[in-house]
Amino acid sequence: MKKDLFSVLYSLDKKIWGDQIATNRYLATVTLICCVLFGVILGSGKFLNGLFDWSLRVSIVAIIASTIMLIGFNIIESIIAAKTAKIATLRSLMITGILISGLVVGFVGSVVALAILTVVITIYLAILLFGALLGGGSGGSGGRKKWKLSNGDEVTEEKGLCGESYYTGSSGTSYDTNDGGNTFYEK
Amino acid sequence: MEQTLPLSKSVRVRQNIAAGLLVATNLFWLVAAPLQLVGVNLMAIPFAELIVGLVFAASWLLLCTVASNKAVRVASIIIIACCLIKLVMPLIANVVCASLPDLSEMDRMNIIGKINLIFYMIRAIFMVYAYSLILNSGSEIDENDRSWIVVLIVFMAQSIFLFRWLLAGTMLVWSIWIVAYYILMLIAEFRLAKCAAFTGNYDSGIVPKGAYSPLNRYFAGVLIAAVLVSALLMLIAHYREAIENIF
Repeated sequence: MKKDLFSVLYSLDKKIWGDQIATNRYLATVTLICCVLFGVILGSGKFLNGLFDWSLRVSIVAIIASTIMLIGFNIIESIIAAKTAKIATLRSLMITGILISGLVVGFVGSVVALAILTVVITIYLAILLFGALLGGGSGGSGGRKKWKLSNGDEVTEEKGLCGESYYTGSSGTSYDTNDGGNTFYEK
Repeated sequence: MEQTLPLSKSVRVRQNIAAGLLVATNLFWLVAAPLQLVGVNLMAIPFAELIVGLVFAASWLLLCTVASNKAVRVASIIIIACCLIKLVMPLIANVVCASLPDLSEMDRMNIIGKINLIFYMIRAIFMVYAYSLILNSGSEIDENDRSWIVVLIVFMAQSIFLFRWLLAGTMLVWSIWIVAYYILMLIAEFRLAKCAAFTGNYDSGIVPKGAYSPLNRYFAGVLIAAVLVSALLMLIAHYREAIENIF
């Protein structure tokens, strides 16, 4: 039997009930994907609204109603496609559970994904800000190079906004170099 | 798709043209739905709905000429009639409103909305009957094609669900479903046009007993789901504010 992403539930039907049911290859899985996407829209809408007060105009009622409609479609298909009433009932219950789970997984998944993304972005921005505050330029103080000159002055390299280098001695003297720090001369 | 008899060239041509026209009508709706999200309304094109409706009716007229038996031919005629009545519905609604004096614009829109709602419900029942007639016609339709015709029956049930206005809350949600809906409709109508029920070789004698009866599992499925879904949607409509407050 040919398997693909869009026929996962069809394969499940065939695995459980075999020839006792003749469902469409794609209908159930496509409705499941729709439910997951509804959950994602609801989750991201609520998350962005709660955190940043952005309104995505997501209606919980419309999402629940749409999910119920999709469950209804699958109930019709179950009744028509199953050879016995017992299989039709069991399949309807199974699909109802799967579609509701899809909605919940989409909701929780999108909230978790957005929360992780927010934390990662916040940490990255915090590192950038912290580095800029400590070093006055990008990269922070950890990567800064230092040289001890023969006159006793200690020269420190600082990076400018565009990546250009500035060399300042501990005495306050500004230096420059043409050979990457082998020899320095006063500006 | 296995067909037991080789098709004559004329039947094959008519079948292919009908399938192509059905695909074209669904492609139009498939493109129109997402475009609405970005503010482009294809329905604003003059006579767009009329042209798409006539193309749909023409494709079924072609299919009617290659029906394999009487039940399939009757089903095709029902579908053509439903389509043509749908096309004149705006006219009927306007005539009804014109016969009622002293109506405000709001009342007029409400009446037109209700007439359309009732018409689409009746149309859906007839379409379900027509599709179930094709399935019960005794044609040797293979299991895969049958499952696609069942998809058409399932989608027709949408118009029978009450409180459907609850669905129209979030444009993005509706658009996701509409795109999935028209992709499945496109495949389903293509498979229907190419199935064994439309192979020509008209035979008026092979319709099984009880094929015309609406008391079948297709109607049972639609009826049970319609009652369940309508009851749940009614509950949601009743507790709408409470649900919105919880979330």
